[in-house]
Amino acid sequence: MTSQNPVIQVDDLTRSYRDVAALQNVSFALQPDIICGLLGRNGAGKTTLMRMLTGQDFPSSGTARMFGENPVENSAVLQQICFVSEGQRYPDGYHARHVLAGAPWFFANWDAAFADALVDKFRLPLKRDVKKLSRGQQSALGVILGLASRAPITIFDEPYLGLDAVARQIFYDALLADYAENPRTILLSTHLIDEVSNLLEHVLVLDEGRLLLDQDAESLRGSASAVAGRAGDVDSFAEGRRVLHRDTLGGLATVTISGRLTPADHRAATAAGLEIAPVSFQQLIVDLSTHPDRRPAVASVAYE
Amino acid sequence: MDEGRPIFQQIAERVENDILTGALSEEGQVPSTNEFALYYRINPATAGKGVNLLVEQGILYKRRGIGMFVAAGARERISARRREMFVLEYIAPMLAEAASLGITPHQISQLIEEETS
Amino acid sequence: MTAISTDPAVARTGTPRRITNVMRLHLVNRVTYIGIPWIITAVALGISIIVALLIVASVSGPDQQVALEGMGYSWAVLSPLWYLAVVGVQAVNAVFPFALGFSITRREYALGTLLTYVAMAAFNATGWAILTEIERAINAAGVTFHHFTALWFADAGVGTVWLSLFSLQLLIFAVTSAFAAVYARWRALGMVVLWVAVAVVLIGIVAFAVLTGTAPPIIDWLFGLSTASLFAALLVPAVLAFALGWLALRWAPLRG
Repeated sequence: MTSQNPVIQVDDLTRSYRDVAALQNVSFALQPDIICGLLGRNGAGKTTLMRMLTGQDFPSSGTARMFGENPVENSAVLQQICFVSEGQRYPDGYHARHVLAGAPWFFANWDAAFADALVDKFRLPLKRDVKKLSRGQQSALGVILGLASRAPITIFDEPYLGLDAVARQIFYDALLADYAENPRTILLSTHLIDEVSNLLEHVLVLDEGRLLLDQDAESLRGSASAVAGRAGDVDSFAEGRRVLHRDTLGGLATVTISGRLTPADHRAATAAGLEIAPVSFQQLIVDLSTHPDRRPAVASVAYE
Repeated sequence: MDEGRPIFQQIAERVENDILTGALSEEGQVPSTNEFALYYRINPATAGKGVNLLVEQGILYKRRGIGMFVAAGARERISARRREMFVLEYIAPMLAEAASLGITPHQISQLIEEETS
Repeated sequence: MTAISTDPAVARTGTPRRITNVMRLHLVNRVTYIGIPWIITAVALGISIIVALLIVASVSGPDQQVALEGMGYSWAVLSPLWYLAVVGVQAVNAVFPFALGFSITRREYALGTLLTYVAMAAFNATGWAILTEIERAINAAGVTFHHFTALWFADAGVGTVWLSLFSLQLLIFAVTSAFAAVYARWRALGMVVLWVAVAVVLIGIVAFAVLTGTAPPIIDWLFGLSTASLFAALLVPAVLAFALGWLALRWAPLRG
């Protein structure tokens, strides 16, 4: 993997609304042409972060750089970005066909044939007021805009709301196929982690406005294990290791342990009568986001 | 896909399995990284990592501008390594478990013969 | 593989082009800017014609002529203008967030919107001025009917008619957009401050008149202007309102 200049670089980014910190001291850098998942619970600060990456909102302190430049009022930078916002508003009386007609005026790589094909796949009605479309149809319109724009940085904020399982699969397949043909940087916020985890190359996890995790997706897989057995045995096995989560049932306990287990660990666990199971991607994120030690010490942090 | 393990390893194993079963023949072309990615619905970089793992091990080789092929002797190399792994992953733990239950290696042989007869 | 350039230094589309594209984006749905104002014009004209026919049918003698002349005070020609207030608010409430979703900068949006306002005001003013001239020709032919030839139009030249319609439209666009922009930036508090500021200015003028027994100089100056100059002067508050709207939107965060 060659190390290139990051396409997205965020340094110590903070956004406060009055006394509520939506985002606190977030720093990370993303390499170009990867699919990155932005994960976290509702109110974790995902949308706030995306708005600041696209110049729609302004940092209270810190910086966000896209292609090395400040995106705010930066036309040359912004035209390389397509941000599909979950709550995108459309003017009264605009039909989907109006929206799609306007897109090529602002997205240089717009592929109209691809957009038409997606309209067919999603069965999107073109001649109806966007405001009268169902939630899922509006999401489909956003997905079509994001994919057909082929913007070098494409940002999807919870793009699947209201989409049924079939339509979501159409989205994931189209995203993957088009990304394979036209590699570009894709930032995808979601809480349907299991559905997209295999598509991701990199993962950012936000919780209560702070960045919990900034990691390669593959290195995350298998980086935690669930160990179950008699509570005493489990706890002595877990001693000295980073425990993300602990459940008990009578005299039995299950702990989620962070860190890859060695074959020796496996043998020791088996010898102690413990069972080891892999922890799914989604479960790992959930455990990280609910881990008590991860709670920020500042009590004033609140949800949006 | 198994949730608990890196996907690129699983991709490499699946390709190896296909070589072992003969679904992919030696000197035959294997699907491209993107084809793997779309088929298994995984990130193309991850698929590429799995394929590259096999290239490093000499199981696959690249022909510039054409694609990826199964190396001659790949099948034998895979089964040799799998045999080593078999000892590590199955025989050794079995002997350890047997010892804790008071079963001797000789008794194990007898049990195996009874099972297969 | 299609190479996608990731070099922002290579601006794909020049900013002037993007500004005119903002205008195209406003006009992509032609009903809003062109359709509805002219539907209102047509309906209002229809009502004026019906009123005129009723007058002709029900009033006779010299009174009929007086009644028909009275239609000149109906302000009917201005009826589509009130709809433009809706356009001004919608441009900020809906088109602005939509434009940001298309990766348009605030500056491109503001200039493109100004361009749209000017173009639409000019287009509508030209249409209404032409109809005014046609009505004058009908009046000159001896048929008394007033719909477009209302108010100050009676004596004004076609240029003044055009200018007055143009300025009024721009003022309405700019003021309503400014209010919507102040709301987008500062929400209810901004609205309160803005209304209080407007009230203070108006009360100040009245207080000046009451306390000094004379109208403030600016009022004297306005009354001294010709019709054309008065309407040209309306462009000053229009520009100020537009500037206020820009200042508000420049740092307005987009909210969910």
